[in-house]
Amino acid sequence: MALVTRSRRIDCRGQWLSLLLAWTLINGLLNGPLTAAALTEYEVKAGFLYHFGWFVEWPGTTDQGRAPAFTIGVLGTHPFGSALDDIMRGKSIGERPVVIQYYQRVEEAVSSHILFISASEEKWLPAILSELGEANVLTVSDMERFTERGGMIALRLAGQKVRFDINMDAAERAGLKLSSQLLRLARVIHGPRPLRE
Amino acid sequence: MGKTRCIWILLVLLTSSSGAVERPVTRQGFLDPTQISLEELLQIEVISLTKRPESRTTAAAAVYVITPDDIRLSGVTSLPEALRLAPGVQVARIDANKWAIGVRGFASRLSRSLLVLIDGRSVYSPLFAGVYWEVQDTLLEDVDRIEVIRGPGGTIWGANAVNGVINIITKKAQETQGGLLVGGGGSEEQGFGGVRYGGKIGSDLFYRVYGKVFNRDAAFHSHAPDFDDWRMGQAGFRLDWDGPHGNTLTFQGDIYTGEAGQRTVVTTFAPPFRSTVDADADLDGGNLLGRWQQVFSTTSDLSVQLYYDYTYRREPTFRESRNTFDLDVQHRFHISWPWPQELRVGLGYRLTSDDTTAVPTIVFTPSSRTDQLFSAFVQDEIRVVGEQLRLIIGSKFEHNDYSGFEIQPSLRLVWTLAPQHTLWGAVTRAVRTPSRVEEDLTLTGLLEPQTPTFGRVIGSDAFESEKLLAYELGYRLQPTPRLFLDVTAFYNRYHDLLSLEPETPFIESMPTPAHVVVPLLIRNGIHGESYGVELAADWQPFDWWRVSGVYAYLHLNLTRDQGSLDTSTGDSIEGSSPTHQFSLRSFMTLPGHVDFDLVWRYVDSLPSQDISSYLTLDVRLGWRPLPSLTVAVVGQNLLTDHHAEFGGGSSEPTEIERSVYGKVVWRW
Repeated sequence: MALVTRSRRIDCRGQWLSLLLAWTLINGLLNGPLTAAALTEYEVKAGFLYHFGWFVEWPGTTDQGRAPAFTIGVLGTHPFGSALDDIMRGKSIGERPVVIQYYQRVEEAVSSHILFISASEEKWLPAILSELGEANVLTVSDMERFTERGGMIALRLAGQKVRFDINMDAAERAGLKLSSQLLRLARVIHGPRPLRE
Repeated sequence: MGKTRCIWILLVLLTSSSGAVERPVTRQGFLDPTQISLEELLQIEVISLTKRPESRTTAAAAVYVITPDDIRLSGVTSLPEALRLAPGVQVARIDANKWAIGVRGFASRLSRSLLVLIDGRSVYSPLFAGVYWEVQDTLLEDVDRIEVIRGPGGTIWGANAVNGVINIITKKAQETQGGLLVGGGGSEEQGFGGVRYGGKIGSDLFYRVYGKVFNRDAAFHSHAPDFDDWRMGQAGFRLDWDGPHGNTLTFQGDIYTGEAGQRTVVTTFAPPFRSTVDADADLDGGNLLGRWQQVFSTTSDLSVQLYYDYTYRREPTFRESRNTFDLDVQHRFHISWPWPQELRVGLGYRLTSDDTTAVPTIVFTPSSRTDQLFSAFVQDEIRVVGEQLRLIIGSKFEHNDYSGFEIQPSLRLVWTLAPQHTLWGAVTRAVRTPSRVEEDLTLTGLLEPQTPTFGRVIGSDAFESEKLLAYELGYRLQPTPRLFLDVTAFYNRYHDLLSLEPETPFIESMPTPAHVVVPLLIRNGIHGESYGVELAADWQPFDWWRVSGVYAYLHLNLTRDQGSLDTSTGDSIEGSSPTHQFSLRSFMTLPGHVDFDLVWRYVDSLPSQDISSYLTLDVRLGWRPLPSLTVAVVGQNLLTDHHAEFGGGSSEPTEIERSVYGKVVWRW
């Protein structure tokens, strides 16, 4: 008796699922171009990395020892999936083609222009920043309290939108010039903050 | 017939996902974030994909991570129930306050081959070998993640991590700032409430304090009174300090007290020899844990952890109190020759001391015992070919007071085929070390009242560790950000599993009246093998809809050794482990700040427990009228009035009822 009731219930669930399936497919087809405007969090963040490249000036336009490419580095276990590679494919900043490098060790990352420090490295942030020292590397991260702890640009989610904070002192110490247009759009952290070193 | 159809539809759903998802949204330039201005980029609303900890894609083990979202949206109300969300984990509720939990089979009331840690503190009982699930709790809103590692983890975590390791990790105090008030009630969850407040002292010291209580109704009993109602209260705190120079300190503690109703069969040597008592088990406990971590550089750190744990348990037939101290030191560093490699070394010491008293038919000799455990481990992760190919070798070396030295080595290989494709394999040895039960217990139970005849389970130091050699192979891929797939296959070889060997019966004249005793010696007379496949899929077809499915297949075949007379233990374990398990959940965010979530589960029959296969459905409807306020209604086990999930052993069969509860969460 119980078995009969059970199998009838399975059937109902099956119909419910197939309705859902049909609806999903139709919905997906109709809404395709509209929903296409949506970007994931890390696609948007990848976009920010690209724009930072245009609004920051690195010392020495033909800096020696650096590849002619514009290097965006990612340190640690990165959250971008394939988004960063996909978005940057074929792009250049100024005259330089953009190259994406994934690093596990900060020592390898000192030659990059922009370094995204993954939240996985949060524990080691003081050591990472001290290893980078005054190298001309723009440090970006979305870990908590990144700028307060000596990082240069923090990406953060405000509701569904991505915002960024800039630690001017840290950027200046590394010899980087940030355009006024960039500063206008950011929350700038004024005054020297004690570094955790 | 119906079942096949459902599975077929699920397959279509899963496979169609790739078609729907792979339409290149950004790649073909519908919207390229680099081609719009920075101002426009600031205005884009991002899709929130569930963030999974990184271990999920690169780990060299069958890891499944249960996130806070999973816990909240599935409407579970306890840690054991939350474990149902992971693939390959069998969670069967025995009665209102007891669970049988197993990974890759071997589920039992105390899950003897499963190691469970809460914030690095082992909650495995060295008295009865296993975990008392009913006293493992915390404020569910403060859980950061539950890592369910299927397969042996003895190399890092030590003995008893044979079939799996469950790490329950709570959030840092930094992440639980502000207030939280939770309350609700319903038909089975008769009433529950919790409060937490987190704050900051100075600029670097964060804290939280919490308290919770609940009162749960008894399950359904067709032939017994409602003996298994359950009340508990728990409180705790956590302090996290982020000091200078890479120092972090954590200090935390919990205290709990409760009463869990149970039906106990009490055996006496005097007539009537056997009686049934419905009474509460009194449960108390507390712990304090401190952890200091020093980060020297990106490639080197040191952590020292010390904890104290107290448990007290009084059942109608026995009482146990236990004090445990544990010290654990771990150091991680890199060497670059001849390949880049990361070494982890650790040392541990544990002192555990108990005191037991029991009725005359349950005898622990000695009644009080203090044991020491010394352990060391080394693990080397070698980057053979950059990040693409990693070789991880290591071993744990332990000395315990029961079986002496134990070695638990492992060899793992991880091959990252592409950034989102990982293939891994492992060969691992693990042991389940003897507990007080197998070495010190003499347990007498009535077999036949006329003569009278008793069976007597006799432990001795002849019992050795149970051993496992496991072979695993896994593949994980994330073909698109919206789809994640994980497949694991395993083959396990077990040796020296526990058996009960009958000996020649004898007549015992004391205590009177004279009675016949059939001795059953605890020995290692069973061996066998198991194999299986586990699948997990996570798919987010739309921003507002996420679907997860898990499936596990298990084949278990245990046989007695030559010379063993135990014909039932192997069959009983086989028949208590489901061949197929399956669950599908759907989490939807609807307009008007409404969530609609479904969890649907199928568990195969358990012939030894006399349990037929069952389907259950849980539904949650949540509404967030204000950012700080969530109201939810949850229906659990909706498909039947009541169903049984596991045999009650010696007590009456107990069934889990359909239930509904409401819940309010307010944050400030």
